[in-house]
Amino acid sequence: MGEVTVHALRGVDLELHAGEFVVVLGPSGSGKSTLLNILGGLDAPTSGEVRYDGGTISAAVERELTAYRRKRVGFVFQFYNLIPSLTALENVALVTEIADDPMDPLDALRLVGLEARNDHFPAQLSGGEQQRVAIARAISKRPALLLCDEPTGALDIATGVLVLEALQRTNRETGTLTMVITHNQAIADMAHRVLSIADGRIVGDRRNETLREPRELTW
Amino acid sequence: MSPKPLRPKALQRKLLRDLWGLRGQLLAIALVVASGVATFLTMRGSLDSLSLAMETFYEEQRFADVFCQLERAPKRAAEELARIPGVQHLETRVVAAITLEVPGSSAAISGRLVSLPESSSGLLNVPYVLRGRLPEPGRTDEVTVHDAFARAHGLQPGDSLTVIVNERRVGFRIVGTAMSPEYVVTVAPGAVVPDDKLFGILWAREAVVASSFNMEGAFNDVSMSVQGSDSIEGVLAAVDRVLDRYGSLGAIQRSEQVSHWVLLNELDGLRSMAAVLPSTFMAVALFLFAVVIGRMIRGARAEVAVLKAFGYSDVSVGLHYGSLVLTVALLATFGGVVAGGWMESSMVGLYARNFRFPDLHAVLRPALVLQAVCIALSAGLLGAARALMGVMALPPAEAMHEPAPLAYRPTFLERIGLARRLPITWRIILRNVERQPGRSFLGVLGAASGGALLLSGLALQDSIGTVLSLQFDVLQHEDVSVTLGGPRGINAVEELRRLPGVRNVEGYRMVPARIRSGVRSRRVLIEGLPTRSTLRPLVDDHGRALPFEREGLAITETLATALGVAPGDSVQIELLDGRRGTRREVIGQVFPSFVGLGARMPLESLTKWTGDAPSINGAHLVVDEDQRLQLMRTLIQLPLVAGVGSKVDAMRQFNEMSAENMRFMAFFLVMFASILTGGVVYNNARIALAERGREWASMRVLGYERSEISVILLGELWLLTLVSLPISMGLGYLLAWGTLASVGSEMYSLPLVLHPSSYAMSILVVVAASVAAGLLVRRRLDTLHLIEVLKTRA
Ligand SMILES: Nc1ncnc2c1ncn2[C@@H]1O[C@H](COP(=O)(O)OP(=O)(O)O)[C@@H](O)[C@H]1O
Ligand SMILES: [Mg+2]
Repeated sequence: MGEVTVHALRGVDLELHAGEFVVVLGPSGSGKSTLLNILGGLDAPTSGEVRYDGGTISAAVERELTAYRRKRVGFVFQFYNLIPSLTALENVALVTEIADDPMDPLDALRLVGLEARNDHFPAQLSGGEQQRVAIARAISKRPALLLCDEPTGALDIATGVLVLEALQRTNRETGTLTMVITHNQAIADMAHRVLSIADGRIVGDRRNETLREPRELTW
Repeated sequence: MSPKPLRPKALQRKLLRDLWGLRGQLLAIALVVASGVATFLTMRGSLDSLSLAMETFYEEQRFADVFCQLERAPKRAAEELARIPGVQHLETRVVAAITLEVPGSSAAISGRLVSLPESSSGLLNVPYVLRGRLPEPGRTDEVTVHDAFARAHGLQPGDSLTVIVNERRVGFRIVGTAMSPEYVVTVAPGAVVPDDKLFGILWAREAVVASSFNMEGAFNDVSMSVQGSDSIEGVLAAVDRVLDRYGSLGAIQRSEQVSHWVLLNELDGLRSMAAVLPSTFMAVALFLFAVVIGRMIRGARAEVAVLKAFGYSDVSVGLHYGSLVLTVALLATFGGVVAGGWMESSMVGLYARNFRFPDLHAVLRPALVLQAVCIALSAGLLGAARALMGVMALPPAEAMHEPAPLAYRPTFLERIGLARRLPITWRIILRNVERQPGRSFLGVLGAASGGALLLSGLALQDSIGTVLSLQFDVLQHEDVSVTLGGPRGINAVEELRRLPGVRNVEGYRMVPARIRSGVRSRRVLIEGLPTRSTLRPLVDDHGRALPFEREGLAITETLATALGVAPGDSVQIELLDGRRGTRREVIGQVFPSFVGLGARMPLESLTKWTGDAPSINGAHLVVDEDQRLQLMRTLIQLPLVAGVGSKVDAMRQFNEMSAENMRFMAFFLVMFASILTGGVVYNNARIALAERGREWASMRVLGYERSEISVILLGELWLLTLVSLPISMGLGYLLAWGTLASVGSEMYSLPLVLHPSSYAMSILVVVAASVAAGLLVRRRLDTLHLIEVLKTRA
């Protein structure tokens, strides 16, 4: 393969605050995932600094990053990434078992409306249900930071709305800084703050005066 | 476009890339296949080499078909023998027990002096001269000695030695060294182990031998070649009829001839090993091909779909993956052939030390190599067959879809309410094991195969060790045993007892006999022993002494089975010691023994029965160890003594002979066991990684430490290894049982013995191999691509 240097992100200067619901918009390949991965401690910038609560994530070693993810960050992915051999409840417990001050896993499932399906395996759940389990899993540790990379990308509208409702409810009830990545403009209307990324740069940062409920969104 | 789109460059490059990507796993398979090929070629090649050396040697030196020893017959009796239908060539000889003095050796050496016809090298059992020549006709001071004996003593043509024949000392000059089909293995009468230092074969011209033994115009040994193998039985019976009145010991055929019998046993052993070892490897290879290629193709469904969508035919896609399998199998076979060639020549080299053939060298027939190639290729194709058929049958559209995810459920342990408090990681492990029980089971079986193979190999060593320690420690309490030139009066015991250093003496009488019950009959040596023998006790299976019944004949279990008799039954006994009387006798006792066919009775009854005054033809002695060597020299000089052996020498000789073989065996067994277990565990781990690496990467993203993920990988592997251990030991036990049963025969049997150290060794190797394989794969967890798995669908 040829040596081509790709600058996934350039000159990003950004401050995020507790309790915010942030939507990151941008076309495919613009660097959204890269930003999220860096914030989540999965990736490191080649230059620049990332600080969290007084610490410098960008200077952390592998072990510290793992601890950061374990204690502070909740992830929701486009493809759910549930453990197929564990039930819904166990998938949540997978995280609560290693967290400092977790919720009861069943409470987390209740937040996403799936407590009745707690002993079902991923193969027995629909895509939307799986994604809600993933959200329950992500919030159950009471993370300071909830990072969601295209959480509705693989879902139809109705299911996507259910997932977004779960995210919004969590944000309201727990005050978790929630960051949702999407290339879907419509979702921006439910966020406190909307970041636009293009070609690795932040080209827009606005706040919504009025928030729309997820069920009012259409796309 | 050129009209041959079947194997364009792109597909070939992809093949190489696939091979490279799977190199670790394919290397593990290749090692298993190569080991299978190598053991196959080693065992079968050695078998071929030994058989070829034997057949050529027998043919060129005209090894006889029928042999008979007798007391003394006039030469004209030979004419009668020659008229027996079926007899082709016939040769009479004088063969005599001698004592030897070799310059530079103070050992008590016995031997056999064999006559050569006066003016030729003979018609049958012709010595093959390696150095020098045969004695000149008419020369009375020349001998040719067996090459093995010459080597053991560093004797050269031109050296001299002294032979004590019939109480006379005769000096001979060595004019050559030779080998003989009769003495490929040389075992002294009464000895358990061949010892070239203490027993030698000498050839001299007939006139010399005959005059020394007062056998002019007579013979005491005859060999015959027989036309057509069907006539052997008839010839044996006819020879017995003719030589009956000349004190015949009974005619025997090749399979009863000591040297040939030992060879046959070795060939049998090789044959059964050649069946067991390679099949184990090939079965494991089959399994590994199935899982690895199956997994590869499952992982490449999308690629297959693309290939087919671009118009590659089912056949060319099938060929693509098929050729990957064949490439691996062929490369492995190549390695196996090279290793097998080397192992075979080492093994044949070991054989060459114990079997004296003029030309024993490793042969590897092209047909055998071809057979090995076919076996390896079919193992590969059969193993991968299901996966290959699947990939060919896959329609392009369907291949684009993901295969349905396998459904999980709580494990059996959880369903029955146990293990409710199982940590989550262990639930993952157990559910994955349970989800594909067939594959888990085969994986366990594959991992078990290494330990099983090792254990069964060690069982052979344990068994032989047990038989020998039973023989030397329990059954044989004498330090020195003496064979006499012929039956002597019972006062010979007193004569021996008076010698300095002798603490106890028991005389015995051995008489060859044929024992019949109905149509069944067997030829055995009946051992006459003092009723209260303390030196040669009868023992049960556990080594506990059994009382020796005064009445009737005591026979071994094997003989009882062969004849279909039990204590209380009566049998017909025909003595073959020259007095050929027959009589009936009741079986008094049946006792276990590893030496197969055997019988014993009280010395007084036996000798009363042979019509002699009480007599012995051998004695067992307990002696002072510090006087043993001197005493043995004294004994061998005694006119009545024909041979002397000591237990210490026999044990030493056995240890020397077998120690190297055992080390050789043990080395390869451990290596093969590691390859089998390591290969299976490594592949299980790689497949787990390929199938569940995504799952583990997700857990890392969620904040799990590397070590916590390792628990899942290694926990599962080592759990399966743990489960495989008892299975491995059980299989090994069965395999050992089968091997020992197939190696044993009516002539001897090997008990199934496994020392705790052998279990420990097998377990250790299995555990070490699986730990090593697991750790090798564990390193890959460090490089799990966390971001990559988030972008792609499961
Ligand atoms: N592992 C990688 N190696 C090279 N380039 C990458 C890699 N990952 C992402 N990129 C590039 O970085 C840019 C941003 O990617 P990403 O953050 O995934 O975009 P988005 O999530 O907005 O679609 C893209 O141009 C992509 O091609
Ligand atoms: Mg993205």
